Amino acid sequence: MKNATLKVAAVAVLCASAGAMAANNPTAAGLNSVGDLNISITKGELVRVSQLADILFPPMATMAADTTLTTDICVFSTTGGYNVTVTSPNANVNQLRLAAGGNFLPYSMSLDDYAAPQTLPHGIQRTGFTGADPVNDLCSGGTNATLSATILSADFNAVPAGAYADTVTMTFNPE
Amino acid sequence: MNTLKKTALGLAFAAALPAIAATDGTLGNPSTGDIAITLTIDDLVQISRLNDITFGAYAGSGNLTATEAFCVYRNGTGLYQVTLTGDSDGLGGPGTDFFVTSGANVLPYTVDYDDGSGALAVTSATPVTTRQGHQTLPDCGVADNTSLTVTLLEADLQAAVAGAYAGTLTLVVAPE
Repeated sequence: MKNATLKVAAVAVLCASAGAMAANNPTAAGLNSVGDLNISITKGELVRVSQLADILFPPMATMAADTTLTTDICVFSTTGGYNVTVTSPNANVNQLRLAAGGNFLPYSMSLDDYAAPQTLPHGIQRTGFTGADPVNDLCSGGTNATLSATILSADFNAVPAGAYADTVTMTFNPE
Repeated sequence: MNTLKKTALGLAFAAALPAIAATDGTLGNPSTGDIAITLTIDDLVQISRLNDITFGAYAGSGNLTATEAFCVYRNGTGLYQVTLTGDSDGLGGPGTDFFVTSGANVLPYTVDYDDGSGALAVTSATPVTTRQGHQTLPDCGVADNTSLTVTLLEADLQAAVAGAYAGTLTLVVAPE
């Protein structure tokens, strides 16, 4: 009676391989034939930002005090940490700006990971954020960070009337 | 007694913003999302601290002149135009509406408007353009920034029928 043993498993490989390995196959027939194979999986560093929402300041004619609006977001990172870079087509050097034709209204953004909030100037990568969900890429429907946009009343009151807008692109990388 | 009352109106309008929607990032390395930040600043003007002008009893000689200081606020650039109209004598067309009346009797007056850059003679119902208002404070803070001067001439006063004359001077401020 001949016996043969074969170990098999099916696995999804997510990223680059872990190095060269080879299955071993017996070189000759025998009463028992045993081979082995290696099973490998590499979990890459992945990140995802979700639950983003536009920040819409209500229409107003004057601003009595500096005004900040916030929106809660979900950040997933397989490492639990991440960095963020914010960019805008209306920025001036590192200053974010809303635009209405040829008129510009400066504003600032910040991200609070509930550990160490940081400002987000245009084009500067902010590192060291923590608290990302390392398991569920949609934070199981919850949120774990707060994004803020602030307009200073002095800046607001100095610009002409108009409809001001900006589109901010936020790029997240795992750390 | 001659009394002049003032009323004031302001105008405001705003522009519409295009529709924008946030875009979440996808799972990857990196993950990139977009959000829009929008704000509408309305055009607004405001007149404040206007007071009635009461000349009291005419002594019989000389012109009567009174100056009323007040505040005009205009956000953004601060530029506005103002149109003043008064009571009509019922006889003339545009530019003849600065009168105080006592029954059927009328007394004309003139108005000079000064936004701080110098007094300008005003024609009734004709906008005085490119005036400068306070740009940041609707109540102009501590000090008024505008004045108007009402003058009744001696000749008109001496020729007028005795009586208590009164009228309303209306100021309409609009952003430029």
